[in-house]
Amino acid sequence: MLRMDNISVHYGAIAAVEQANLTLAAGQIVAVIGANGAGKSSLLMSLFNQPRPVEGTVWFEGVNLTRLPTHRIGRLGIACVPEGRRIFPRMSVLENLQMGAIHQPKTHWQQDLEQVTSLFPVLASRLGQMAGTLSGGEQQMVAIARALVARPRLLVLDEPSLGLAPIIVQQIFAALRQVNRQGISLLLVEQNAHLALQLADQAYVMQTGRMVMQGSADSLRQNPHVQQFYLGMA
Amino acid sequence: MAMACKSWLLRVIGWPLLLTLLASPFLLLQMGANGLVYRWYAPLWLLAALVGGQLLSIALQRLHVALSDTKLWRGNRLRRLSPMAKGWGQRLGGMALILLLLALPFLPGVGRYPIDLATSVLIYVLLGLGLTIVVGWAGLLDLGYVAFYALGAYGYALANQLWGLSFWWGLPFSALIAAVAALLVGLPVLRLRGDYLAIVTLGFAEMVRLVLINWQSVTGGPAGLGGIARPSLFGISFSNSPNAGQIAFHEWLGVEFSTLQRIVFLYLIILLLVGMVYGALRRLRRLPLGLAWEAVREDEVAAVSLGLNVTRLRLAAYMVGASLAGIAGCFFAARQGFISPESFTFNESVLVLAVVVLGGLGSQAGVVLAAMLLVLLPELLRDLADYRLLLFGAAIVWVMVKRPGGLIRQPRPDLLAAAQGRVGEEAS
Ligand SMILES: Nc1ncnc2c1ncn2[C@@H]1O[C@H](COP(=O)(O)OP(=O)(O)OP(=O)(O)O)[C@@H](O)[C@H]1O
Ligand SMILES: [Mg+2]
Repeated sequence: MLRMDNISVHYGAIAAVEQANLTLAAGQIVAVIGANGAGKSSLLMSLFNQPRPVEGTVWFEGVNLTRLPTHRIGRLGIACVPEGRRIFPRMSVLENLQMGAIHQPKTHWQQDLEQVTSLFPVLASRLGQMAGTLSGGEQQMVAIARALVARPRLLVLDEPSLGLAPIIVQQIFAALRQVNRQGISLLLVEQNAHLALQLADQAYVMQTGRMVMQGSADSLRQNPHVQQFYLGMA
Repeated sequence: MAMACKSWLLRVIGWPLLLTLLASPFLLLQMGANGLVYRWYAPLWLLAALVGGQLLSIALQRLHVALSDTKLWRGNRLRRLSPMAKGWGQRLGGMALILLLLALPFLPGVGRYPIDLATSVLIYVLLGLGLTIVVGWAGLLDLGYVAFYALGAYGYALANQLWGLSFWWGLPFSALIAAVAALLVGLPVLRLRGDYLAIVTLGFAEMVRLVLINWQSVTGGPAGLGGIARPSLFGISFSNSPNAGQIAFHEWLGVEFSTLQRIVFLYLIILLLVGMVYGALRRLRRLPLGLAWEAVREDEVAAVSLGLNVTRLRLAAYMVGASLAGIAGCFFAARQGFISPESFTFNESVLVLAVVVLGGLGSQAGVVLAAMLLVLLPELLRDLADYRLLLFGAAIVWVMVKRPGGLIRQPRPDLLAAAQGRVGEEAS
């Protein structure tokens, strides 16, 4: 479904990602873990050509994304929950969701709205509230819901657990599992390796811009290096 | 409790008082049989009417809250605001305001000066509404908005002189010219970054002004263009000596000729234009295009990853804003009958920008209030001669300190109503 070949992302002289490879089969959950500044977000955003990778190609369902302008990529069936949520703070929750569904036929709207509000029931009572006044957890839910109403086949998430209480994180990850069961593939970037490896089928470890390890989530959980550096075990 | 009491007082006394003060120049002076008559009591009537109206709307709102089903909002702090009820009160108030504005020129004792002044205010309301799309909604800083105003005015004036284009065709023509100019300026700039627009627009406005001054053979240079055709109504002219094929209004009606007739007609035209634009923008704001503009302003990266074409959206905002300035320019030219580059200086851009910022960046009602304030205040202060600008500046600073978010602070007065309206639809 998704294949990133030999991707490098540079910011001027800084090389954030160097020759990274990643594949994701339809229906899978793939996690990318790594320390701060490893280049995870850069890798993710390079899917959307933000910024465009300096080398390598990204294939999504047979389409080469690196040639497309960002706004076209958002219409292909990839939706993104960016790092730091990036909801529209001075618009209502409902309007945030409407922006997610802006390229969908009107006939989907009713059903999709019901679906995301049953996924995150708290949002149902917040639809008229300005999104910027929501709690951090609720904002994260809005960001995910906004991506889901775009009816993606691949959902890309950048640190959905960032700054949230464990109980909320549990809720969100349970919701993600449910989303995946409906047939949506997930590409998940996380600092929280515990959670990510629990959820994922396949996982990658990034370190200073390079992919240093890959394998099934279970095998990585057993890996002594991963245990020591990412799972915090002695 | 104290807070609630304060906001209540503001609503019942504060706003009516402010509106009355703003309207008093219209009401205080009256053209009597022997010169100007000073009517100290006239504003009191307005004040009484407004306070009464507010009380009535509050009563209606209470009633509606009591009657309506609040289940949907139980336990939610939005409940108290009951947007539906507010919609009722607002609708009534809006209707009363429209009637009052329509009737203004026919009210006994309203003379030429107040109508003329109101026409000026409305031109700035139109300009402010256009710029509020660009600055308030799309978040683009335009420092040269006057360029499109000038292009609209000169566009109509020249087309009228060269091809005999009438005012009513001039309106869409001027809008089109301004929009095309916005496209040409915006296309190369908006592809880069929104921020560059401020500088480029500033330069563009100056360029337009210099061309108007120096291209003497076409624009008449600093002397300007005169003899621009006034608006007519289905072949009825408002001049003393109409062109061939036209009937004079006063002959048609069999009354004495007066330039007041034309002034009233112009006022009604701009009132109609502003009303239409106001209504259209209110609607547009809740449509996908209006929401997408806001989304781009709020977070460009998020918007683009949702598939919004940021460049095209910005360009659209810039063009719609420009075309409204073009329409305002066309009206201005037809009203004055004479235009010159002097009317289109940088000051004008600043004034319109002040209207938008003072109004609360994106609030339509705010634009109306701010335009009243910024056009009427200098008129009121006329007697102070040299200190006028100083006081004017001080007043603006005072307003911005007291109400840093603008006169109408809430950027989305219709937000709650819109949300609940739609939720209501979905629930039923
Ligand atoms: N816009 C930018 N301009 C310049 N350098 C950048 C930019 N964005 C990221 N970088 C650099 O690229 C490197 C990788 O950053 P990135 O955000 O991809 O890391 P990350 O793995 O997502 O980290 P974190 O887990 O803290 O979010 C860092 O060294 C960072 O300083
Ligand atoms: Mg990151």
